[in-house]
Amino acid sequence: MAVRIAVGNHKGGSGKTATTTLLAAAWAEQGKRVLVVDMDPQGNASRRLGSAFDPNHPTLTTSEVVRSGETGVAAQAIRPCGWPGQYGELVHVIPARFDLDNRLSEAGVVGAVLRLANALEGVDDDYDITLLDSQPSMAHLTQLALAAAHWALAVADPEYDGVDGAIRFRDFVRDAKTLRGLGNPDLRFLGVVVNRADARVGAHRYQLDQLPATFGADLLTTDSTPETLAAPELALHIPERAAIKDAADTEIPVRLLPGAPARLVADLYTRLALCLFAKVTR
Amino acid sequence: MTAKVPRKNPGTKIPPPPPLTPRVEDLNVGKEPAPTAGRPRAGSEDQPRYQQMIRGESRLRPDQVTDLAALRREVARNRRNNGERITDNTLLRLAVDLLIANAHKLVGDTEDELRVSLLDTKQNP
Repeated sequence: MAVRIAVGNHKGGSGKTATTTLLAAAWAEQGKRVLVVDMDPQGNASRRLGSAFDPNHPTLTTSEVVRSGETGVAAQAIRPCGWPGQYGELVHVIPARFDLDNRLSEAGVVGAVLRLANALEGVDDDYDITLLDSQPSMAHLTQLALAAAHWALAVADPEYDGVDGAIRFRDFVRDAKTLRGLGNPDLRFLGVVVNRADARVGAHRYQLDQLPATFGADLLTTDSTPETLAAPELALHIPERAAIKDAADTEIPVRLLPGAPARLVADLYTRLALCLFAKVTR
Repeated sequence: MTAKVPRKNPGTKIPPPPPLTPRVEDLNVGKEPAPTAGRPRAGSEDQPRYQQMIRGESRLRPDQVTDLAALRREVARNRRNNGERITDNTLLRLAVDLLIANAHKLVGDTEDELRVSLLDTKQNP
């Protein structure tokens, strides 16, 4: 079975979807097979992966998969992402559509939170990593992702609300009551990735200074050496770069964009991907 | 006696799930609101006291929470008529009344300066 990582933050705009797609690209560059499960009804991860919803040719999405909840049913909805070359071969996606929102009203049924876990059972055995992108919420859709995951990864922008949302996400995942409710006692918190950092902004500098004290060893570094894993103050933050938005808008991996900033971002995510893979496979 | 539990044949394969077809749904939205019994409007006097109030949130220092609870207990203990319940919110409403009655004394840009202007009797006799 693939290692499943649910990406979350209670706050929107913290960089969850960007991190999901950039990590998917980085792992593909390292020869890893990646399945992205889009659990956000906005479907932004799907579009950025070149699998946007086409009303004239609708395909299966997480909406149908969760609605069914049958064991293994998610296999029917997997498709190669729309990225070129080896990215398209190695990164697959179960896209999302706006009507995934309708699954929220079904949350009150016993066992509803396990529908995605059931649907993915046996489906991602041939992948190295399954990334579950979630919406900025800790409600049912995010809980579906957490119930199916082995790890929960918080993504924060270095502003008060972004850090606060990551703390709430971490505390939610670490709460024993949450794990019981999700039927997933083995879910573990993987750490916090800090992105969208702009050192010119005073509020960002302040938050970046505070992060080691706030998150301690949960603050992820972009270096996979044991020394830096144990030293959060050595964490490197992903800077805010236009290249990340350009890659999102043009629906291609950031490394395929020209220019030094795109290479810098791609290299940082390569290092982050190495670090995360080392952590989840230790 | 042990209950007999049906056993699965270990060689039995789980049947594949039924095929799904793409189904784009309209978003669920509320229909006409269900009729409900008439309710008095918020703030009207024919409601319980707590429903006549409007909920507001404030953040207090830990020492304020402790002192407020102690004061509430003392006030409640000293009552001669136990008809009305005294709560932390009762005292907070009194504090707000006191503040508004003394609003003319408030001077300053920070919480500390505002507190000094309100509480310093030498400065504001």
